[in-house]
Amino acid sequence: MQESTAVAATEEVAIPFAVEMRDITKTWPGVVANDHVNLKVRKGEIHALMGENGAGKTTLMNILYGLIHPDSGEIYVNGQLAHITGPRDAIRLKIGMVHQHFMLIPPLTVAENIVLGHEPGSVRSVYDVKKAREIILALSKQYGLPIDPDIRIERLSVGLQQRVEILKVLYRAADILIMDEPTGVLTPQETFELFGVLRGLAQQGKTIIFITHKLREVLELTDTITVLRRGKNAGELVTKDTNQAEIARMMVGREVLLRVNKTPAHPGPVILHVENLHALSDRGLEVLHGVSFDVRAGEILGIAGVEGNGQSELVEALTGVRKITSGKVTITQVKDGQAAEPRDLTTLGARAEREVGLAHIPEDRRGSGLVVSDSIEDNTILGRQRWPQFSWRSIVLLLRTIANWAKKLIAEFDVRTTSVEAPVSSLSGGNQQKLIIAREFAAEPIALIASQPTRGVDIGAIEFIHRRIIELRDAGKAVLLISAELEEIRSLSDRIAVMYEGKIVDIVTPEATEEQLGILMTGGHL
Amino acid sequence: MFFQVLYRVLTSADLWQAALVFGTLYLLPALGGLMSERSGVVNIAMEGMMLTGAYAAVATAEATKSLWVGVIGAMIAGGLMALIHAVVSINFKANQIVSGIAINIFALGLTNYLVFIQTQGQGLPSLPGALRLPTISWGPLANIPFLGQVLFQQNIIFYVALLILAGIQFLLFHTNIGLRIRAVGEHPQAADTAGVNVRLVRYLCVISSGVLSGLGGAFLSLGIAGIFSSNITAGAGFIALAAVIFGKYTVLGTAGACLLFGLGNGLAVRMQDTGISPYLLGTIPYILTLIALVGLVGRTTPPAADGIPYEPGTE
Amino acid sequence: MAVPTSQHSESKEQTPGSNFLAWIRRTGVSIAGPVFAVVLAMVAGGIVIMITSSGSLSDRFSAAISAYQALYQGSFGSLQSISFTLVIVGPLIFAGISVAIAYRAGLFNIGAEGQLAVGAITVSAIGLHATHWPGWLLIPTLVIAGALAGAIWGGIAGALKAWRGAHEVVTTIMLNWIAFYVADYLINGPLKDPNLANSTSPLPSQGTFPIISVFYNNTLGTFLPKIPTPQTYLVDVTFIFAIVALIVYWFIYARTTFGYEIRVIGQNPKAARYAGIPVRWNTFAVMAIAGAFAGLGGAFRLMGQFPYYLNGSSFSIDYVGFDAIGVALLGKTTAIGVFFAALLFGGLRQGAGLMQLNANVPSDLVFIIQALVLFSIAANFLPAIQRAWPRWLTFRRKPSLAAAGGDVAVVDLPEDKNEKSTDAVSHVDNSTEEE
Repeated sequence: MQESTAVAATEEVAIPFAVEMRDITKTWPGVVANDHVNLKVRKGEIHALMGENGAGKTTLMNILYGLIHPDSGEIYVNGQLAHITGPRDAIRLKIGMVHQHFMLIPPLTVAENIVLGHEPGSVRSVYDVKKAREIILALSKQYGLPIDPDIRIERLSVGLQQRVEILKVLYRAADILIMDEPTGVLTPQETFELFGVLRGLAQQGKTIIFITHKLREVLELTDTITVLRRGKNAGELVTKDTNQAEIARMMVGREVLLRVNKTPAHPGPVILHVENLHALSDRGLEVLHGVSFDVRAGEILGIAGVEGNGQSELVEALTGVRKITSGKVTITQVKDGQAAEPRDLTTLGARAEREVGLAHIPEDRRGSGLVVSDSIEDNTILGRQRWPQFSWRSIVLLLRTIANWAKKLIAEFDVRTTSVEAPVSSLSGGNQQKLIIAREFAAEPIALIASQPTRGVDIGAIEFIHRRIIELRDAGKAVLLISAELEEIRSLSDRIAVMYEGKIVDIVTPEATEEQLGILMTGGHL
Repeated sequence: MFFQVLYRVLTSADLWQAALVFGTLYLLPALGGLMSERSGVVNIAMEGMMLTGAYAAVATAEATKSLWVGVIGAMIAGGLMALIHAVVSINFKANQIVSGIAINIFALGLTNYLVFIQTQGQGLPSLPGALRLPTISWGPLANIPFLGQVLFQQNIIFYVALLILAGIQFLLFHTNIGLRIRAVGEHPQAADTAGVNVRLVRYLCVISSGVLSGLGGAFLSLGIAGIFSSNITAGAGFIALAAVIFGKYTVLGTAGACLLFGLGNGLAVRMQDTGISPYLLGTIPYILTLIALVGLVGRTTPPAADGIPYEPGTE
Repeated sequence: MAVPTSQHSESKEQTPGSNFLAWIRRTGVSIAGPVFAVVLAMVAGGIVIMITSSGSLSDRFSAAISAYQALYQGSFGSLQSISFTLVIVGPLIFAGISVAIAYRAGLFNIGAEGQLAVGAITVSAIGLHATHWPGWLLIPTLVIAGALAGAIWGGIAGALKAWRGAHEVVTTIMLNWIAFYVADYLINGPLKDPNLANSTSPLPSQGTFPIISVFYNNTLGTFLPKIPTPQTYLVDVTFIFAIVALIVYWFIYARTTFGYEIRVIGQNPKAARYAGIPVRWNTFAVMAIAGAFAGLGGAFRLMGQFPYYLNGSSFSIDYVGFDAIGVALLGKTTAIGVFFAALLFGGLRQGAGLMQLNANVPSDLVFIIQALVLFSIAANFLPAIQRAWPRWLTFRRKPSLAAAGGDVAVVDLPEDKNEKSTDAVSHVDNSTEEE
């Protein structure tokens, strides 16, 4: 008995892992991104690397790909110790990475993007357009990934761009593919196709490491799972033997609140009225083709949709940042169930809109919501610096009042910091978001537009933010919620509007299933 | 009366010949600036690199009594200045505009300083004819009316510049190196993950901008002026920068813009017999540049990653 | 909804003593960079002198020493030389403010010299025609005209940037050269004094400002001790206006909504748009204001210093505009910083004359020193060196804003049991976020 297990054991050990990362540690100033992390991936398997935002998954893979150097630890590829100092080394070891934010160069063609760095011929030679085209078409055929080599990247859909990324990796004869959160930007249909491609590649002997935080996808696609939590290993699982709850628990370390508690809505009169809105994109093409909806007092209207269907532009149009070419937007103050005169927002700029009672949590907090190098107290008046309570005659700042206001805000909204004079850059992502929420909520708005309010925010802060949004609704305000996380939309919204290609295609109740929403999100009809 | 003179001047071969001379003066640093910007490093230091080159050309030529060693000296000097910019911008990730300003100030001070030391404050004398860049006349071609004077009786550097122009166009758009340069300028992270050595590409491009600007400086002192005096470039490096912007960061556009600005200089020189004060005429190139920048149809966009120091591992 | 309130009981003792120490530390940290830059530049300048002088190593070293001695002597070595230095410092403060305020909005005002020139020329032109105006009318008119002219010159670049996207570095330099040439034309033409060779006529005396010591003698000096030989201390009353300008500048950026808005524009233009701050108008306005300050500098310089007229080619060889760039950046665009940086650069300029005379080191060394200061600031040499020598300097974190906050990011504060487990996650969040 003992002998055969011993033989079996040695046989198992004899086949090396395609990738083995041992004891990887990486610290940034003040933060441990990877803390003695281990990873073992077998050849030909689809292995999920899971964890919350900030758990260290991308860092670990960036180390594998040579973009970052670990402080300590070792990497073995196919059993051999590997010294990976840069992507070139990784590529030589046949490791390829498809990044979450595509590493594609928009003005260059598909072919140019694919062969960049490994151009046919030598570095010094002329660029051989024909050869490149040949090679790409051959690869395309071999792996079932049709593409036109001569189109410029900027003209491709997101799904096709991702295909180019995969071809890039295959062009370099990668055997080990790292996919970093690939489905965030895909429609359900494109995700389905991607999974088919990945299974096909695995069958051809490729090893795939799939970074994600999406539980259902992992169960659908992968063979094995490694879970990271706060930079450390939290566990390894075999996919077919586990379930969502177990994985979630491993990811977070405690029972995860998957649904927010809320009382049913009692919507009152319409506060935010949007009628037949048209607007142009940055390129000058029409991106909103007549968007119409209403948000009532005491309700949360969620807008679901795959990113890139005009949601961002809609928010910009509503908040006065993007010009509305035709259509109308009005806001109506509602007090004790009585509606006042509607005010026309269509032509108002962002500053005036705030004055009229529209608050906005922008989707990119560091890009458009905060001045990170400025102090916390300065950021609390951003957009409202000319209000009479903050400045005398809108000219001279009332510094002491502002400081007190900021102190009140960070106390009420649980923003963790020692001083309001500290720069916003010293706050964590969750606290930065709470600061924005504090700022917008405390201005006592009539309506709130919240765009990706919990993106990149840790679970504790997410719960806080969701609670506050629901409180705002219960206080009789109107909330427009835009989120790419379907879970969030479904758990918070009282009604769900689905946006596709610049239009609202339908408005449904939260009882709609994910499949139904998926169909709507891709332009289908129920 | 004014317009009669203007017409006469605009149709004279002298004007266009002069326009090409000044155009060349701008073209060399402009091409250098283009290379740098295309790889994603903002370079407003062409002025300083040109000035350094102009001085180095004269100093080296006089010291070695050789014209061409002077030219090479200018190119090396320009390259060294550019190296400073490269190190500060790429390795130290400094604000590239401040670095460029610093180079310009540095060049001004350094060249004046060295002239003073060398000549005990007297200033450099004019160069003897043997050390001047020669004009080349292409025999029978030079005799063609109008075009002969304009195109075939130019300084040798003019023809060199044309070759460089063609070379850079080919390099950027038909070679693998050019592909990498453009990639690095648009999206250095993508290029890095594809295995391109972003730093090396940027270094080479910045240094070549220095070399080309230095050559332009040599053309100025050894070709046009025959002397070096303080701040002799008088903003030419900035006009070259404007040419790159006006040319929408393309090779041919830049060349066209340089021609236009050269025309401005030509006019300033040739219009003097209208009795307009030479001072006012002197403003023509600068006003022209302003108008060009204002009247640009559509904003130009530089390469997407222009001016942003590259931080590997962030994304 | 219960919210923990206890975390804002101060975790540090706020005694006056510890506040003061904290302030010292913060100040020390923020001036470390500039001080280091200056020291480095001076040392490097000394090396340049040593390289270009002759003789043995010790000969060269003493050449550098005597050069710097002359530099000091000529700038701050005596009461008289201090007064000469302040003559330069006054206009430099104005120009420095000009560059600094634009930089706050993210703009590079290289056109301070041109704006200064335009201010001076305007004053000269009006002075030529308003020779019989009374002083109480003439002086304000000249001052306002100078500021307005500068504002227009700066505003052109601002407008071109705001509404046409024209790069202000190029436009301001073009405007500089246009201003120089036009000034030359005017000085040698319409404004030329018939009795002087290529200069304008001097301003009427009621349009000029007196020397401070003379002014003092005539006012306070009537009952306080007079200053002997007041004419030798050249600094005039306009220096006081420069100090006033600094205070105004400080007020603008520290206390007004305009200052707030341009700060946001300079640090995050996208956030500015989303906050509804009118970026274009503010861009135009800040360049106009910057031009006004520089124009004032030019006007005051003309009105304050004998011979009260402009020479041909006054401006193309003038260096105040360039120096101002260094002043603004070295001074980190704060009013105090600009003041000290202007003192330093003004001193360098003034002392360079003596240095050239006595130690035979060309005054252009000042440009070289300036450039090295700029490099050092731009490249953040100090933090880079600190990073490379961790053991030496672990007591000092990077002299960036983080220190000002009390160098804590997320701390272990007494908190909800719920939130405790997520602290580390949010910690990690901060640095691995991709945005």
